Amino acid sequence: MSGALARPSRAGEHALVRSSEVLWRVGAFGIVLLGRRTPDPLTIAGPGPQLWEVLRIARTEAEIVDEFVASFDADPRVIRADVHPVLVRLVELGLVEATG
Amino acid sequence: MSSHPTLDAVCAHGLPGAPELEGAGSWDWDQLLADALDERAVAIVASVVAHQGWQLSCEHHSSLNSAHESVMQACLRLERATLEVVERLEGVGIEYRLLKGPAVAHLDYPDPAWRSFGDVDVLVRAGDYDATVRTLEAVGAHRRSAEVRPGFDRRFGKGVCMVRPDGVQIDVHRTLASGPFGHTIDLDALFEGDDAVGFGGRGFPVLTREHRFLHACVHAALGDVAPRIVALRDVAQFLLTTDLDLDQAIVDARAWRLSSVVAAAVTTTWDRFGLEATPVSIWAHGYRGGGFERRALAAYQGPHRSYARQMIAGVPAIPGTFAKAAYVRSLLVVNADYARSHDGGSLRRGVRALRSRRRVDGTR
Repeated sequence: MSGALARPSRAGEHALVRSSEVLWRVGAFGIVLLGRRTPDPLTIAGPGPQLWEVLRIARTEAEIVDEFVASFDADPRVIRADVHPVLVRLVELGLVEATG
Repeated sequence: MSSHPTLDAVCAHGLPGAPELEGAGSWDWDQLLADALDERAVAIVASVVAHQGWQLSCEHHSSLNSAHESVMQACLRLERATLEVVERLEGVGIEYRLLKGPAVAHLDYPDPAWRSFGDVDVLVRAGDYDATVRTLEAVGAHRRSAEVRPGFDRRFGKGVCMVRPDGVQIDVHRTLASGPFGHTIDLDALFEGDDAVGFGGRGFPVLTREHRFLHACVHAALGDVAPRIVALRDVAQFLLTTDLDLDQAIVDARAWRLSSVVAAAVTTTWDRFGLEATPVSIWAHGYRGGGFERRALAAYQGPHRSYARQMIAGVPAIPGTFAKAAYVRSLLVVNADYARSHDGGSLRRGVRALRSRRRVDGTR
């Protein structure tokens, strides 16, 4: 599934959404996530809780990046460089699902 | 008098009628964090600090957040274990209700990150008790302690703690308390209602809010000699921040002879947190239970508290002569493994006291 995230074309991207089975908690430490088959909880610090909130509904990676660019008024390339590996990891662990 | 006054103040924060918090900048945060760990109250403290926007030193901020992250990770592991346990129970057709931790954290607090927990608690019907234990044993769990006598738990006990190979503890409850108050609760009523909690993509049946409140009172008043602060916060949380039907809860408490337990829990909570008086706290401070309630409550409190004492105090609460006789017989002929592993000294003293009482009043 992580292959879907590597596609450069916005039109070709899959939408991503939280897996309904994921267990999670938010705190000042960030967000901690645990799936049914992930061996250990995964903590995402910094904007992790915001990323999880964005993933409440299905979004493409480009849409997620756009939303963070608007929120943080930052360079899209920097945001994408930060967000992409996190999304790849979330998909690998089954915490986020590709749809469509 | 609490030994953790600052922790008490923080843990009461946000409750209507709680004292104003002042001087956070001059607190001994090393001590507060140590107390929070000791009282298993890290989640509440971290949530209050975040809610208040207090600026801690980098060191304290890091320690608190790291501790909060750790307990939340543990809670998620327990919720995943809960999913596994209930799927097993459902697979063999066992009806259950989730108790305490996850239910209260998700349903009765503003956010589940406020409330941590340390095990999985499920209530099953007495008729399903043995099947539940067998089901958990089939996936590698073992009893943490021996049974008083074969069949005792199913008929008279509070339940059993089962330990999985990964160390997760599953408390299988037949009722909500050991000893006399465990016998007065209407167990069928606990399965009424259709409240549910959702996590992990599915729902789980839980007690009604009124029964969750009564269980919180049982835990706060009877669970430990010195009540844990999280148990007291639960009591206040229900009474001051939820739409609890207190009248219904009081009716059920009276029917289950738990009024003194509720009064004790509320009194301790209000005293410890310094909350402003409310009608329920005024009622609780003035409540004087009858003879049964006073004697039963005494078995759980004070320096002479012991499991054996609670079991002996349970004799009057057992309904029916034959059941009472069977209960007494079970206590007199205790499984050797149980006697070795569980409360041995006080149990022997209790059995001697019971034998002596039997000689006096002719109980058979």
